[in-house]
Order: sequence, then C-alpha cells, then structure tokens
Amino acid sequence: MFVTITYGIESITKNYDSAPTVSSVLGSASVKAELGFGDNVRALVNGVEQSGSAVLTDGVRLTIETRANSKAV
Amino acid sequence: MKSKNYYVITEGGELLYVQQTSHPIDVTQQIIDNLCRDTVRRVKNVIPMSCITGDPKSPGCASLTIGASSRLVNMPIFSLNLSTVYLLDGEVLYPSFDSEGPVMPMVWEVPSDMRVFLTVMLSDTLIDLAQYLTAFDPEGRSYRLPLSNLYEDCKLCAGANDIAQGANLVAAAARAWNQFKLSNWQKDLYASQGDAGRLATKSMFRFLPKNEGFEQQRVLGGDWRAHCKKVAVDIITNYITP
Repeated sequence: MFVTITYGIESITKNYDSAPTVSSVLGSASVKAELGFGDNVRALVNGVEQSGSAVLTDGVRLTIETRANSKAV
Repeated sequence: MKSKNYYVITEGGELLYVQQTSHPIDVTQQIIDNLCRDTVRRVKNVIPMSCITGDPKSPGCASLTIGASSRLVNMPIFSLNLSTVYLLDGEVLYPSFDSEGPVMPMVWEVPSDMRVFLTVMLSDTLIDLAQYLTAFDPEGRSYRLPLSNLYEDCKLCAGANDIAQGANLVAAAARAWNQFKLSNWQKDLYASQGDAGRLATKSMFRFLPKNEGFEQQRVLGGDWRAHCKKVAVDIITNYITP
C-alpha cells in the first residue's frame, strides 16, 4: 500500500507491506532524513490532526507540519 | 444559455471533444461567500518597499496574499538589523541575546542564496494578527533562522510592543516593518533552542572587528541551510512561500 507524506513543498510516496501508524511514519529515520523534519511535528490528514496510533489507509496523503512551541523565556 | 464546443488534448495524449452549456443560476450571497471562503488571491511584487519603509532607496517589492478574512503582506528583507548583546568567540563576535550587556547595532546581510521575508498577517479590519520571519532557499524550502524571539513555526514574538495597525495595508505594513527594524533581539524563546541552537547562531551570524567597524563573516561551512531548521506550516507553505 502507498502513503504520500508531505512536508512543506516536498513530498515522497512510500510503499508499505502493511498499514503503518502515524507514529511509525513520524519516527521513521529514513522519512525524517528524506523530508528533513525533526521531532517537533504533528501529522494531519485532510487538515485534521491525527493521533500517533491512527492507522493510515492506502493512498492517503499525510501532511506533516512543524508544531509551534510555547514561550520559553 | 450559452454553449460552446471545443477540443482538448489530455495529459495522457487523448483527444476529447467537449460540448459545454452554461447558464446563470440564482444563488444567495451566503452561498457565494461559502464558495469563496477558501479562495486565496496572490498578487506578487505589488507594493514597492520604498512606500513601506519611506526610504526611496529600499530595494524590492512586497507581495500580497488576500483571503476571505485575512491579508498577508510579504516584505522582502535584504539585511537584518541584529541589535542585541554579543559575545566574542576567538576573534569573532556572535549574538548571545543576553538580557544584560551592551547592545550592538549590527547589520547582517542576507546571503545571495537565501531569501528572507517579514510577513504581517492582518485581519479584514487591518488588525495585526501575527508576524512571521521566514528564510527560503532557492528551491522554495522554508527555514527558521537560528534567532531568538522566533517560535518554531517562524512566528515572531512581538513581546510587549504595540501591535501594528493602520488605516490601510501599506500603513499597517509600515508599522510592522518599523517595529521589526527598531526592536532589539532579546533572549525570549532562545532557551528552548538549547546548545544546538546556540551553535547554529554562532555559525550563522559572525562579525570580525576590523578597523573602526565590523566585517560580516561567511556562514560557517558555507551552507546556511545546515544551521537552520526546516519548517513546514500551512501558512508558510501556502501563503508565504515566494
């Protein structure tokens, strides 16, 4: 099954043997390296934030966004 | 009722004959508003920066992004006023953003392979909602500069300063611009960047004391992207990216 992962203007399509969870995609070292995001991110499908345990379906587009931090003086 | 017939060649090379008829329908303003809710219009290079800064020598033009309930003014920045406290590392000065110590009004010229924009997001009544400072590489990827006073999503921490408002878009943008140019960089939000953030700052913003002044040094390693965090948020990707 295929999942398209978008970060900013860049996106990649990955082929998975079985349906991955959001956490497994966000924690994937290869996906992180290819798209260049860190740990402080959130994942959305159709504009809706997904939990880490959410299972992704075939053909879905997962949008990863930088999460704004809180003020730390 | 209007009708027209035409041929289309699809991306796959297929030739189609299209028969199209159209006629107006009665809809309420609410339906039109809903249809236009997510419509965004971008007008590039429409306001000369000299109109915003008041300096006829200011280069470049600002662009507008106009949505149903907000307006964004994207202003190009060719040099950053880095008025803050500096520390010496060997022979080179770098910003420490400390709250105590002499503030030095250094100017950092943006490298030729980087584009920086100050964006002010205004409501439809021209109230300043937020300001962003974003760097872009030549391919259009967005980055957060290793500075203080910046959230992870490149939103500027305006602190206790007055929010920018104005009678029109140019006046509102001018207030935001002046506030940005005249503000000192403080340590707000800098602690959360950790040692890696401080190292990135030292690698990016380097000044060598020379004669009576200071000479900006090249970014350590040559590639500024190595010292900036890549950023992706909806507002930058869809509304600010040049």
